[in-house]
Amino acid sequence: MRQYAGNRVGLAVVGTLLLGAGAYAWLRGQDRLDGLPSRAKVLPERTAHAVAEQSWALWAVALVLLVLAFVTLRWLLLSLGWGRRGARSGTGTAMLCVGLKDVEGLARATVRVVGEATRLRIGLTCPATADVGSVATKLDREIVSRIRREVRDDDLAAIVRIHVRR
Amino acid sequence: MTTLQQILPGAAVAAQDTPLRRSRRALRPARTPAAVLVAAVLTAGLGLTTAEIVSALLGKSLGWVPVDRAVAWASRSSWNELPPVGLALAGVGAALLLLALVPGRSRLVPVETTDPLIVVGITRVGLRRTLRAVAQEVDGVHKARVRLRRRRIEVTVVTGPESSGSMLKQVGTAVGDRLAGVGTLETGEVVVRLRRKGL
Repeated sequence: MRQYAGNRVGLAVVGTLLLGAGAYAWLRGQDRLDGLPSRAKVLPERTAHAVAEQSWALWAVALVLLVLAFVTLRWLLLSLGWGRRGARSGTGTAMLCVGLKDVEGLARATVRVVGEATRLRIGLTCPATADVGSVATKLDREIVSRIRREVRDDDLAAIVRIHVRR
Repeated sequence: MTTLQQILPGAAVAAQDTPLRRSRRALRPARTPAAVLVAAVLTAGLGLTTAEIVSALLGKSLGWVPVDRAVAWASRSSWNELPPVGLALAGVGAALLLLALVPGRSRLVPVETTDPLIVVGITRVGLRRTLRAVAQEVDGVHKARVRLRRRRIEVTVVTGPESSGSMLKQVGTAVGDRLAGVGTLETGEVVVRLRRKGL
């Protein structure tokens, strides 16, 4: 079971591109690249004219930028939790609350099913006076297994987040 | 020398996959704030630039992104004016790359489980609160503060002037018992400090 890695992949790709572009600009500016003079213009006049004269090239640039914008928009939505938070399971939440009925002051107990029942996300908040150890043991040995069986089967992975309020 | 791990293909993997490692993998920070920021900046920048280029091609510039000025600047600037910009870009890139590669510190402390498919984590704030509550239950303790360090837990208790050394032991035992009860992994040793009130 792994944490969502999309953000790290995205950051690594953007970081590598920026690092590469920055290193190239620095090396080129310091005249450390053979055959590429530092006094040359960043955008040579000939290239600018060639692109300006052929409008299809600008349309192609716009298309590439549009595709990239959609890719980054998808990344943004995913990083904001789109499709990763899962749907709330009423049955699971009820089973969780019944299983922990001995814990006084239990709040925010939720069970979410992520994706096509690929993972369970369970969250609960206990009061500071609660015996968190027995709560964790109960969850591990009884409650999560029961919820998994109800939602799908015993092979379902589950992440439980326990918080303690004041 | 041939070891058992080399003979059995699955044995090495099974030996390395400890509960702590498994929990760390599942609870590793997802780098959400940085990702949201970078993705939002890129989406806005790329989207607006696309709109600007398309509108310019259709003969009506929107004026949202100064593409013309950027092209004019690139046409008159030479590479030897760029090293500071290059260094700044490389610095930002290295920072993003580090964020992606460094595992980071999870906001959840992993808790031991018997089922390898179940990962339980308690929030750092939550663990602090439960330990503080248990330390404050010891007779004579007026106030307690808990700090979670990388390899140890520091508990500072404020007591009255009549406090004794045995109180330290009681607090240490209570906190240790609660930690053992919760079954946290990777919390390290407990250090208890006593501060007398009114001295």
